[in-house]
Amino acid sequence: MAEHAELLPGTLDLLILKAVSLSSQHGYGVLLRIEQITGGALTIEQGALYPALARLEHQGLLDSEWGLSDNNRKAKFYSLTGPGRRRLKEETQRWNRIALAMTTALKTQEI
Amino acid sequence: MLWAKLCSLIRSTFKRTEIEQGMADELRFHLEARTDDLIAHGVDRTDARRQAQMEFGSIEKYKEETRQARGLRLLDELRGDLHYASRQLWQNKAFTFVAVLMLAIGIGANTWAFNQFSDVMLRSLPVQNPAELRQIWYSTGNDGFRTSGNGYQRPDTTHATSISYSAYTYVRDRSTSLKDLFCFGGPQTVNVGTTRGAESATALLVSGNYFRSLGIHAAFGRLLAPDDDQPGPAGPASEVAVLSYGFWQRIYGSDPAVVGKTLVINGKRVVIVGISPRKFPGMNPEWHPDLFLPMAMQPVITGGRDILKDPGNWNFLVFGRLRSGENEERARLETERLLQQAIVAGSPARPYDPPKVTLAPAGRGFRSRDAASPVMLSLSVVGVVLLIACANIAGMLLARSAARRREIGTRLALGARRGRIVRQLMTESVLLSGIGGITGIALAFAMSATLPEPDALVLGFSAVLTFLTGIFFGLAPALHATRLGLVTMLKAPASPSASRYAGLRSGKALVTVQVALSLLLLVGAGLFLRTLFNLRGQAFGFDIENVLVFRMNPSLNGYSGERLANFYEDALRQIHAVPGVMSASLSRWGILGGAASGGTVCIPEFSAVSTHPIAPRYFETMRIPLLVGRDIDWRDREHMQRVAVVNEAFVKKFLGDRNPIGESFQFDCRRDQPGSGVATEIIGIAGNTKYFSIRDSAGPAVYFPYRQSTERWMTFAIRTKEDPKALVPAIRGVLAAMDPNLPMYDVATQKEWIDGNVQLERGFAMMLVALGAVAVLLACCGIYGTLAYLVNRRTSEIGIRMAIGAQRPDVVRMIARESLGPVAIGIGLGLLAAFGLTRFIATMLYGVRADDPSTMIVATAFLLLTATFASLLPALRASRIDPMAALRCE
Repeated sequence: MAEHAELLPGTLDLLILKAVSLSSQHGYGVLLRIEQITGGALTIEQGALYPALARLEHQGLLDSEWGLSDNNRKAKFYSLTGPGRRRLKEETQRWNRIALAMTTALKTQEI
Repeated sequence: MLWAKLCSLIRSTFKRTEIEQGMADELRFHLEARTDDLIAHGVDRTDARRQAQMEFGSIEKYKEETRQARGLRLLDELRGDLHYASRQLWQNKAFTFVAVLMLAIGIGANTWAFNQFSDVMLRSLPVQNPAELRQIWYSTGNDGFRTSGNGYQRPDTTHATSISYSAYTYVRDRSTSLKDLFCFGGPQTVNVGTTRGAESATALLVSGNYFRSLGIHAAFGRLLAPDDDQPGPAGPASEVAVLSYGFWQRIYGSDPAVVGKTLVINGKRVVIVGISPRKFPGMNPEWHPDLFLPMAMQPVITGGRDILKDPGNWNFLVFGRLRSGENEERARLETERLLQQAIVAGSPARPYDPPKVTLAPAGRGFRSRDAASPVMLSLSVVGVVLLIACANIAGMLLARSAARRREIGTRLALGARRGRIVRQLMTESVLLSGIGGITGIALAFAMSATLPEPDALVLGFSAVLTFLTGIFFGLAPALHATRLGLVTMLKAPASPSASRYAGLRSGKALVTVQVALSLLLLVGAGLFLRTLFNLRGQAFGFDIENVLVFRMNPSLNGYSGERLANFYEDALRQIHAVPGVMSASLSRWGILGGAASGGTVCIPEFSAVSTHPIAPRYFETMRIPLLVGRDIDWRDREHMQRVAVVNEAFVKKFLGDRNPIGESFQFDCRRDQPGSGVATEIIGIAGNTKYFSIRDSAGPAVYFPYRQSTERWMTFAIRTKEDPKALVPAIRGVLAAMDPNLPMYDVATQKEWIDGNVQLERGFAMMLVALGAVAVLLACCGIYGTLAYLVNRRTSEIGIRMAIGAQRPDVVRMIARESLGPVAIGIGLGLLAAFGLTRFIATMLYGVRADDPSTMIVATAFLLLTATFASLLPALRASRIDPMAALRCE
């Protein structure tokens, strides 16, 4: 297993948006997708996913609908709404700017 | 985003079970899917389930967080708070009852007053696009272009709304900035013959396009159309009338079959073509006309004179709609120019100043200028009442929070946040005000059937007021209750030292507020009582008891000239013969009947006077003293020497000290020709009386024989031995025997007329006295409560003082002094407020200045007395404390 890192505050929302941006996912699927796209480098307590999903849905960034999973179980599928897509784009840009700034800053300090 | 949240919250609220079920399903699916995955990776089935649960974390914790994320937690807490609050209120039934009662009165009164306010000041007429409506107003330095019309005078200008019919048509046909111009005359009393006999009704002469311009549709039948105005080739094409909804209900019992039937107006048969809609009161909501008649009916209404063609008769109110996109100033200028051209076209004989035009927004209709002050006064007074109610309930809540210290302390100790407890206490007060508010609103509409229907604005106002009231009286006590450190609260709920003044300071502040507001109401009540007594108790100059008054207008039924004058003379003779009548006479308007007429005299300089055409024995009937000379008698008639009785004010103003009997003056003369008019001989001098309004001072007046003038309607005055109203049937019978088609109308007693003059003042005096009394009572309760609380807190201290030698009077003084400060500050503030605010009611007062010192002194003394009484009771109780018992308590 790869080295684990704690999530920075606020990043879970961004990861969820990213995870459902490609195709609609149920909660467990979102979890697997996050593990997959982060290469398992980030871990979260699995339950913490659901309050976050509810919050994003409450804000109108996600839409949800009941459907059947791969093995024919009833599951709630989340997909990105228009505002959600915009938010993902903004947040991604913001993240990139911060990351770049942080990386540069830290590099400078090393010299 | 906010919208999405709101939708989501509403969805969550109403689909609560569905949401809970969905949440459970979702989490179960997660655990099952994870378990399956783990099994697939070779983990044992039982271990897999356990590991899945472990990786997930606390299911209940995340469920709760999910609820919170959906905004449901707040809702759950609110529900819990409401439940708890209603239990609290239920347990303290006495407190709840008193608070709800006070709130119901406060909010009910405010709902009532705001409804009046909105009706007078805010509500648009139920017509199409009321915002487009404009009324033509004008002002002029010299209104020589008109011989009659309405208006109010300022030193050098006349402001008026009434316009001549010819000027109206001139403007209507040429205006490019206004459309749908329509006009109507003032309300006219007409004699109506219906299936139920002769009635007196109010008719409004309106231009044919009146209803069409307003966009109003008939309740039944049709409304008037422009064609109805046009006299056809052979006289009026159509003699038609529209009934108002109220008149139709009252007279015809809401029978739709009356459309197409006829009724007789002033002896003329006309066809009822329709009924106006129920919600439309006319452009002036104060008038309530019974009939709407087209301009073609004008000669019938005015007894044959054609005032439509008279360019000097400016008696029509003109309205129009501003065309959309039209510039307001351009429209004003154009109207001004057209009006001035119309005046020139009428070629007035006298010099004049061209009128300046204003286009006043008329979407709310138009009302008399003084309609606003009574509603503003009621609104402020009920506002004060609500404030007092709030102060009282806040006081009670403070006292209760003292009792709830331990409960609140415990909850704080168990980890409740302060904000959370404040929110819970606020829920309680808002619930309380909600109950009070709903009761009050229901009360306001149940108590008064005359209230206009409540609209969304009024109900919204009351709802917001109710909510704010709850916050207002609840916030300070809630903050106060949670302010103290929790250790203090838990340690010693009754400790005298810990928080001796904690609840007290707020309590005293509330006493100050209540005293100030009570004083304000008391001063108001005093001023209106003085006004009422001054108005009602003044010398009127005649005897107001046992006088019956009523009006008749036979000219509407075709009587005129000598026949009309003879009718009056015969009627008086017949009435004299009725048993119980002491004397009978008549005059044009009567005295203090709400209308008056005036004329001009030149002696030799020109002046305006009140004029009273009268029948003989008028002074005897009214018991106006005839000081010198003789009364008018039946020999003073047409073609005889013109004679007049003048009043003392007339003599004093025009003739000085000399005896004027036998002297002559020019009556009805013109300013520019003092020699014009009719030479009239003074035959007597009568005492002064008020004439038009009981607020006016008695001005110079001329009484002259009605037979020497051409009067159309007359006001009878009958002096009776006993109850004047008892003679009405007998008099009605005598008159009906002379002509069954002539109604007597405006039947009243002279006393009722005078009471009608002071109706508004009486209403305000009664309202302010009642509310002032309630306010003082409540303030006393506040003082009593605060001091009783203080005595309670200081029991042991008082015990010690008494143990070391303080005497009972010392204790009484010490305790009573505690209320002195707040009461004194309250009185100071109240007096300041009274000095500042009473000037707004100065115009409604009579015979008393708005800052009348004696009223202020009496009100202050009264308040001081009651406040002292309220403080003495707890002080005396304190003085009876047994030192030993008090000390043992510690």
